[in-house]
Amino acid sequence: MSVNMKATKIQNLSRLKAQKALLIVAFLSVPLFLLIVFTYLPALNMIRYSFYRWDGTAPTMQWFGLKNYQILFSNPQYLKVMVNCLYYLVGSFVQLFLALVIAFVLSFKFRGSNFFKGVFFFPYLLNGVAVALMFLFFFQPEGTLNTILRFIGADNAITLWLIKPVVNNILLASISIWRYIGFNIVLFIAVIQSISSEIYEAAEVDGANRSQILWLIVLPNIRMIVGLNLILAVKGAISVFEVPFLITRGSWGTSTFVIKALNITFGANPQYGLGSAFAVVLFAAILVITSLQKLMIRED
Amino acid sequence: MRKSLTKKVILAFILLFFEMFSYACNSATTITTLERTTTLSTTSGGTYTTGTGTTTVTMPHTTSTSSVSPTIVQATEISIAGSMYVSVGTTSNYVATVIPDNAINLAVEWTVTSRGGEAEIDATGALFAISSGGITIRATATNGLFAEMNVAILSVSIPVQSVEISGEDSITHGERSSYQISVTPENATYRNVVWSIESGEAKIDSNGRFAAMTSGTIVISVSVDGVKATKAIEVTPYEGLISNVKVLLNRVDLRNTVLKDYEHVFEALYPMYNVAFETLSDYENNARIRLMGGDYGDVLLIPSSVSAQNLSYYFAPLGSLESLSLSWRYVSQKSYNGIVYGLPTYGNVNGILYNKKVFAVAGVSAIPSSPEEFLAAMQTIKNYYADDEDFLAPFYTNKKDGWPLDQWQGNVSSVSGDPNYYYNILPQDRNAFSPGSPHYIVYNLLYDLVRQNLIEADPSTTNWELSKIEFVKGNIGAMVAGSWAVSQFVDVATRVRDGTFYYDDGTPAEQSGLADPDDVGYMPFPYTNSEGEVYSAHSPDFFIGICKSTANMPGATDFMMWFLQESGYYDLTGGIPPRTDMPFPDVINAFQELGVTLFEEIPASGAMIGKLELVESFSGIVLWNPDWKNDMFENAFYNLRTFDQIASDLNDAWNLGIDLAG
Repeated sequence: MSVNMKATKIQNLSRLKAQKALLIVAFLSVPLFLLIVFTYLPALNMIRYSFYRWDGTAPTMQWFGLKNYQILFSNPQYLKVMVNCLYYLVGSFVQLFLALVIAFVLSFKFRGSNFFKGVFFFPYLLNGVAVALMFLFFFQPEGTLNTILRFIGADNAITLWLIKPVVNNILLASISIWRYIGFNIVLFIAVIQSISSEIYEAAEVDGANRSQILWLIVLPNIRMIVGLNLILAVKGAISVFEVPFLITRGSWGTSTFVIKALNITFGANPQYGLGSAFAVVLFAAILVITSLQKLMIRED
Repeated sequence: MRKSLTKKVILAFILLFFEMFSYACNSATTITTLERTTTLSTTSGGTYTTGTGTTTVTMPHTTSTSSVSPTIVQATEISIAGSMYVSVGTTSNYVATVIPDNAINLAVEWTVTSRGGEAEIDATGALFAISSGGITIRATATNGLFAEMNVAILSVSIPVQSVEISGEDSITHGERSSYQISVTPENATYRNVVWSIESGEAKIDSNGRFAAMTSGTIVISVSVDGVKATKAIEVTPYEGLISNVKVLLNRVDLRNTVLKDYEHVFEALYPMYNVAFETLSDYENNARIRLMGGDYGDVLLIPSSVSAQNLSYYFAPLGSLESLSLSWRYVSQKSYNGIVYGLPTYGNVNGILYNKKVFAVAGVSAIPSSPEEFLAAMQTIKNYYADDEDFLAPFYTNKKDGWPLDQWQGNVSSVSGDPNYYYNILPQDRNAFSPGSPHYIVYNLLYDLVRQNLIEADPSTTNWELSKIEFVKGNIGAMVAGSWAVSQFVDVATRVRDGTFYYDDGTPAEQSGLADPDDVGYMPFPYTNSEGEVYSAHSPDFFIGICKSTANMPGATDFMMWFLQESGYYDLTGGIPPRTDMPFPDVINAFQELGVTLFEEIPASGAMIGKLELVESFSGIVLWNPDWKNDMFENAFYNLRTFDQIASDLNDAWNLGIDLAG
């Protein structure tokens, strides 16, 4: 090629690349703008607020330094709320474990496996408010659970489920499990089925049984997806809100981070700074837990 | 080339991001809502101007300037209306009229001085003539304005032969006019002058001040000791400009009934305004958001979370504390630096609702005057109704909704017996929850009620609306609520009795006729102090304020004045009327008959301003939030802790709050 032709070719290429870049930028700009304006900016502002004291109507905010955090960590009632999150955290681990086992079972195509996939996934589609009202009715004194117990003659097991000290938290965590396990199952099934069948055939030839296949073949291959789901489950567990709020309003020892923050920010004597500090602590907790998880999962 | 283009784009984004961030930072440090131009100006005679100087901030979008001077008209003089001649042995009525016409009415004190004759005059202006001669009656208003009138007491009575009304024959709808009488003979000794509307829709008061509610011919009549006269007034329709007044209220339940009536009546009296109501549910939170956003109507209820020092940023000054507190109750609570920013809609007392029939039937004869007596009464009721399946509970806490437990907090001030306690002593009281403190006494009762199982069987599924019905039907003995609840319960009782009560979904309540509005009783919190006294604090409900940047200050002021004084809103709620010269309602008079001393709380002053909120934040005990009461309740329910342990922890937390608040 002559020098001129080469030069034009390079020019054409660079124009093409420039157009490509422009196209990418143009398409990304709107979502990026929305993301920044509605997610990052408010989040950064919230971190700012946590260092001020503001009641929502004062025209100026008052600098407060770290006092909001001091209040947070020195009041036992706020620390108790963090303890409540443990129920949901443990619940999320149980949820993932069950999801894995069920997904593994369902990944083998037998008759009715599709039906069960639908059954497990269905709760995920339900709106949170509907689920909460459903279970409120289920656990009420004259509700479904007590009626069933009376029907089968287990009269002495009948209690006021929603106000029993430890039991109500476990029940609420179970509701969360019920809601989200379907999502995890479907995800895991997809990933399990994506493992190439050659590995399975090799394993069968080697004489591995089902549980060995699960432990030694399936798990290592889907480690990344499990890790991702673990992060999502933990985030969901710590920031749970609708179900406990609608069922017990956070009373009877079922208060969670978000409910507490809500009460602080929107009750009598509203404190936006303290509520923001709560949210920041929540955020930090999620970061810490997910980094720990990442460390543990990464074995290399 | 290509690399640097993408780099440039990324750099541009980063710069844009930082610019937006710094903009947010700069504008967020001063949370200004809408920025507006306001200048203080004096308006026409009769208005009261207080000013703290001009506040100017530029308003980007409109060009109107609104006057910030308060237009609540204060009286500049008063005059006395009544007969100049009376006869011995008769009672004649006198009325004090304020000038100008639309000024706030003042309560007056009547006195009589003798110039030869003798007479007595009572608080309502009724003069009883004892012996003939001259007297001078004097009406003195609370702010010092006074008027005098010389009256001659004649030994004979000279009857009125005829009466003539004088005044404007023709006015425009919306204008106000005043009418006087002249009697023949001139020295007729008459006693009573009664004004009324003969035909047409209008209002006329005892001073002869007339307000038309429609256009057309309206005939007024006056009866002087039975001798009548009439006058036809031509009211021409209003054809001027109509300005808007937007009002924000919290009573969503009244939106289609009472508020529509208010709209019609107000617009009939003031055809130059078009009033639009907007009712907000969860008023505190939604109104706060509206304040922050700058769009909050012309007249609105002031959210209680706006602290005193911030009132001036959102609400127009209404007058000086010194003068307004003479005519209006509670205004010190919405004032700052001697200027008032809100007038109260009505006031409440706190105490306990009880079903008189349940108490009587179960054998509780006396109203409990101590917590022990109250618990005993509840136990008596529980024993009496032990076999009654329909009976729910001697005491119903309504715990599930949270706010019914908050109502207990209103009793703390009463139990303290000290108007200064709540806002000025409590923020530094290191024994706020120790045994013997007001909080301890009030909440110990709640704890004991729960502990002794005198409450509903399942406090997690309570329902306020249903509890009203069960209460009036006699299935509940007592509940804690402010006195605002009495009228609601009486209303439910009437409707259940008449068979006109419907649940929200349209189904009718079981008609039993067993509900009787007279069964709804209200008693003070059962506590008698060591000197044998029972106290009850009365405190204001919401206040009304005018938006600082309203474009329609006259309309806003006229509406506020009409709403507070003439609409009957405080009657609707059975509350204490906002003006000092209006009497307490029956519910609260009953308290005084029981020997209860009522007092008004003194708001925080000096170093205590804002202190209570600060201590609440640092201690984690927000007094009107139900969280800590829920904890106490739950501990009682499961007998996990004794009340002394709970109170001790609360006291420690409060002390921590005091320490950290500095």
